[in-house]
Parts: sequence; C-alpha cells; structure tokens
Amino acid sequence: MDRPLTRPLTRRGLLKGSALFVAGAAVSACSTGDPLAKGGAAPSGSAAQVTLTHWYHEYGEEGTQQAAMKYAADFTTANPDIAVKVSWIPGDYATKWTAAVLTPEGPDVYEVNDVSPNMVKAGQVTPLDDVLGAEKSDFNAKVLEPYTWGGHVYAVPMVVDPMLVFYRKSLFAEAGVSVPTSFAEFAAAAVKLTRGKQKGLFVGNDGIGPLNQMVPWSNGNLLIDDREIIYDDPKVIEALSAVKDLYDAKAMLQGYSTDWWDPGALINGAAAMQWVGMWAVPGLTEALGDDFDAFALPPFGPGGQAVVNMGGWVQVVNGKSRNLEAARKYVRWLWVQNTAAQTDWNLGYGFHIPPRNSAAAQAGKLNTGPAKTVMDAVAAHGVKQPALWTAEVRQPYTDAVTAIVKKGADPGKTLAAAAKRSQDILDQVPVL
Amino acid sequence: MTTTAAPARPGPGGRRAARRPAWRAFLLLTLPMVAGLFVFKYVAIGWGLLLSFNDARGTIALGDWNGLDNYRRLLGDPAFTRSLVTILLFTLFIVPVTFALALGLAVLVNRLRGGRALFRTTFFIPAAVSYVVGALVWKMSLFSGTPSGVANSLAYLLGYEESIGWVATVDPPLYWIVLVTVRLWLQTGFYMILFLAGIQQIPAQLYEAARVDGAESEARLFRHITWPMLRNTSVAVVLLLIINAFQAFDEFYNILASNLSGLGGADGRTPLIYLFQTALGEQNYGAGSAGAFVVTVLIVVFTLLQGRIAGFGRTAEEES
Repeated sequence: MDRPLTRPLTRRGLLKGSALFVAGAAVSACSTGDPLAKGGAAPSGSAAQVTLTHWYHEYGEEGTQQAAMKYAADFTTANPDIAVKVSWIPGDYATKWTAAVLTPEGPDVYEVNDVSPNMVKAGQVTPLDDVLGAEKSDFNAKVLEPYTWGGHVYAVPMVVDPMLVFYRKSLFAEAGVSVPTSFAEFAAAAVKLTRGKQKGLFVGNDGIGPLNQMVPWSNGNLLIDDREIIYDDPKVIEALSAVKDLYDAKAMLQGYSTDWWDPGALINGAAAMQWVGMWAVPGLTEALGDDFDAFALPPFGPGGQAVVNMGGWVQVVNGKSRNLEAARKYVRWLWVQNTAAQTDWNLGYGFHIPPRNSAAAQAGKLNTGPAKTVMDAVAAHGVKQPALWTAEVRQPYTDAVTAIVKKGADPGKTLAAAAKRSQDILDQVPVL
Repeated sequence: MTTTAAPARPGPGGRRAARRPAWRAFLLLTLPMVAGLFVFKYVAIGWGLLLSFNDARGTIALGDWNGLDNYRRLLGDPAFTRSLVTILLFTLFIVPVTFALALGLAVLVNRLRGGRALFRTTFFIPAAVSYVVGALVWKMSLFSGTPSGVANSLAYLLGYEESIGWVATVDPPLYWIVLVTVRLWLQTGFYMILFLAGIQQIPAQLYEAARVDGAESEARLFRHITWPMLRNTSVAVVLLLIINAFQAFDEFYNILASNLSGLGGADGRTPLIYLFQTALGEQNYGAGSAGAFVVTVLIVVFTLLQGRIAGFGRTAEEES
C-alpha cells in the first residue's frame, strides 16, 4: 500500500487509464436492471406508455413465478398501453419492501400481510375502495376488516391461508390417539406420540412458534382488544403455563432443518403432528397419500374456543406511485375481476382459499379430503389476527412468553411489565 | 497512497513540471472513491444523525422533530438495554478467547519444521467462508436438533439418548455454544495469519542474543522476545476483534431467526439485530438511527479506552 509508484505516469498512460475508466463506468451505467429482480416479464417493445413494477415475495410452490408473469403479460395484452414488470423477491421480503417504498422508485404494486396506521399515514398504501367496487361484498368480510382504516379499505386480498394442526393418521392409530378436544388432550397426545426418533409435535424450531398466540386465543383471549392490551390476564397465564408444561415434557421437535411452514418434518416422520398452513396439502398428498388430516387447535378448556389462524397475503398500491391510476386498474383487473387467475393462483400450486366467496364456493379441490376438513374448520373456528397487533406492539409479549415458557419466569409479573410496554407503544400508533 | 511518487526527470521544466501529471492523476483516480464515500457514507451518516431526532415512522424525511424522544425510548426499552448487556458479555468472552487461540496457533504453526504452509492454509481457510454459510452449516448440520445432527450423534455416543435442541435451548443457554464456536471457527484463522506475519517480522538475531544471554526455555523466549515484539500486532488484533464483536449480526441473525418474517427471541438479540428489527421490521427509522449512534459511541469509547490502556499509535520515543 505504501510502496511508492516506481514509474512516473506518462500522459499517454493517463489517457489510456482514464479512457478505460470512463468506458467501464459507461458499461456499468448501461445495465440499469433492478438488482433485486430475479425475473421479469419485460414489456415486449409494444406501445406501452407506462411500466408498472409489481413485487411478490418468493412463493415456495413450483410454477408460481411463471404464473405471476403470465398474469402480467395477459394484462398487457388486454391493455397495450400498460406494461407490468414482475419482481420476484427471494429471502427476507419484509425488510426489502419496507426499504423500497421509502423512495419514489419503490414498487407500484406489492403484497403485504398487514397494513398498519403508520403505513397509511406515510402514504405507503392508498385507498382501494373503488378498486374493490361492487364486488366488495363478495370478499370475506373477516379478511377485509383488518385492512380497513377510517372507513377505507387499503388492500385487496390475494390468498387466504388457514393455519392449524396437521397430523399423520397412521401414527395416531398406532399410538391409540384420537383427535384431541381440549388442550390437555392435545398435550397428552404429543407426549404419547413421542417415541424413538419421532417427536409428538412440531410448531417451530424454537419450540414455541405460533403457539404463543394460538393457545391464549383458544382460551378466549385475543391479547389485544382494539386499542387496549389485554394479555395481562389469568386466562393468558393459564394458557402459557400449559404451554410451558408441554415444552418441558420434551415432546416437541426443535431445530429441524426446515421450519413450521414446510411440511417436511411431518412427511419424514420427525413429528406426528405439525402446525402448518393449508398450502402444504398438495405436497402432503403427494408424499403421504391419504395418511394425513387436520384439526383446529382445540378449545383450551370449558369456555375456550377452537382456533384456526387465518393468515394470507394482500395486494396494496403504493401511495407514492407515479402511475397510480394504471396500478389501480391492474389490481382491479387481476385480483377483483379476473376470477380465473385468482382460482389458478390459489389452487393451481399450493392450496389457499380464494378470497372471493363465490370463487371459494366453486373450488372443487377444496371440497374433498383434508382440504375439506380445513375448510369446515375455517368456517367454524377461523380467527383473524387483530389489525393493531403489529410487530412492534407484540415484541414485548413474545419476549415475555420466551421468558415464561423457557426460563420459568413468573408469568404474572412478566406479563404485567410487558403489557405496560405494549400499551405504551400502542398508544403512539396514530388514530385514523 | 503516496503523492510524491514521480522521481525527477531530466529535461526542461525540471522536477516540478514532471510531478504535476502524477498529482492530477492522483486527483482524477481518487475522486470517484472520495465522492462515493462522501455521498454514500458521510451524507448518509449525517442524515441518520438528524433523523435520530425525528419521529420518522415509515419515512426517512425530516420534519417531525421530537428532540431526544428516540434516545429516551431506546434506553427505556429493557429489550435494548438487555441487548447491550448481551453484546458486552459476548465481547468480553470472544475477544480474549479468539486472541489466545489465534496467538497460540500462530506460535505453534511458526515452530513447525515441515508442513507449515499446509497447516497455515488449513487454519486460514475458514476465514474465506461467509458468515452466513458458516452459520447455516452450524445450525442445520452440526447443531441440528434432530437425532442425526452431528452434536446430537456425539451426545448419543456419550450416553445422552434424548436429542437436544441446541439452538432453541436457552436454559441452560446452549445456544451460546453454537454462536461462539461458529465465530471462533470463522475468525481465528484470520487473526492467526496476522500474528504469524508479526512473528516472522521479529529478527532472528534477537532470539540468538537472548539465548546467549541465558534465556533457554521457549516460554522465556516467548515472554521476553516474542510477546513484547508483537505488541503492535496485538493491539491491532484486539482493536479489530472488539469492533467485530460489537457489530455481531450475521451468525446471530441466521442461527436464531425462526419465524417467517421475524427474528429470534430475546436471547442472543444483539444491538444490531434489535436495530434491524426496529428500523426495517417496524419501520421506525428515527429510533433505528438513534440506536446506531448509541452503538457507535459505545464502539468508539471502547476503542479509545483500549487504545489508552495498550498505547496504540504511541511511538517508542513517546513512551520513554
């Protein structure tokens, strides 16, 4: 580094060097592609005046990326003046879109799980009431509700993902276990199904996973009630103590190579029951035939309720988009009017519930086998996470649950302290 | 970089004229780098500092000034203060252990008569592995929670039939074994090379002179020749180790993250993980920036303290 230049620069050398440098800069400036984009349906040189960018997270099912690009191309065929560039974002999608929408160069159309009042206030989303139009009443009201702020709906649901407990029928029969009807039975089944290299239950590699919310829900406490934190409550303490007993019983699979959203542990017999979404049904059918079924997390006890968690993805339009009208038109065309594409998207790859009731009712694939069990459980026990239970609000709670379940912290005191913090954070969320 | 590069060339104009093109070339060649540094680092850092005094949720625009609220929020959050304690304990452990291992390996490799290059390369190779790759190998293969994981297979041979969820077990804190071993494996080789280079710079005459003066044992030679002569290397190594430890993120993020959108729990949450979650997970860029400055101040304070104690940058004349 500190070696002095041994050769003086000549004018010619300098000229050559600078020319190379400029050429290099020019070449790199020419490749103006989006570095995040793994694939794009580029407009094929037509008369497109507007190009929309549309971001998807990486759906795991084979064929989904091609399908997304095909929908975009079909839209351009129908609307030659608008091209759509699909970006397929692998990995940690949430942090990528949050950074991208801060600039005017962010995606015009993107998908999210939640729409918070902060996002509305920052203009990261825009009201889509006219996009939903007359078809609004055909959408599942429970699903639309958390995306509604100040009377406006800010999202169009793309897929509804019910999550519940899947199990291997043959392993249940072998161990003489039947579908549990209370949490105590559920925990006992997990213990009974733990034998040799097989664990009874898989809910996530940390050994708690979504149970931290689902079990209190099944005991009748949703942890938050509009703008009030309600998890500092005997029902939650009771639920978490039971989760702790289950954790201590060493009946749960931990540190598996895939996490709870992948049915691998169930397929490979590493666990006999697993918390996973309905998207896994085609994969499970292929690997296990009819040796599996599903049940809602049973009611915690008398006075509780069975729980199926209704997750999913919704489409939003970036409020800062330069092509707002084109973006709205595209979203209405794809996720409201084009029921054929919606059905293909929800049922052609993994299984999801089409958000439009009329499409869901016609979905033959959801009327047989385990998918039918799931659909019935959704109708009876579907619970949608309250809108204000955001990442920031729930962090003190999840920390408290880890302390209680894994380290034996005092549940009452720990929850009381955490609830105060959650409430402080919640109070800062703007009212719309 | 040096600017006084061009030796004088004979001819009219003399030394000065000959130097000018080199000076111009220096400007031309460094300008892109300096401009880049200015735009992408200093402007960003300055903006971050201003942002830390703003209520910036879902935006990085200035305008909603809230004084020291972000700093108050952070220091009042037990999750953040706990992450600071976590990183402090981690630093206090990982720095001396890596230091001792790297120095020990360097001394041993240096003493080898044959196969020195082989061992040097073998120990150094992990430094070329990405933290992400290392972390995933540790998480999914060596310390996987399944009975077929390497650690669990070993435990089975030793008589523990129950398979252990290494990463998920926080009481006792087994996850630290995973985190510490992966970092040691990844970074020790690199620091070993630094020490080895330092050792090879020590003139052989010093050892000969010491032997003549009666220093016979290896231990005495190490204590009186190698160790003092390595002082500058040691100080630099400790400095780098401390900064690296405070910035711990990659392996913590990759080993502990469990949920789809989420990061790991409270255990093993380093300040950078906390800030990543605050800024990019919750879109609270004001608090995220404030935290970045808190961590920076901590690193600077530690570095200065360490420099003061060890006398980094002091020359021999200043010492005497």
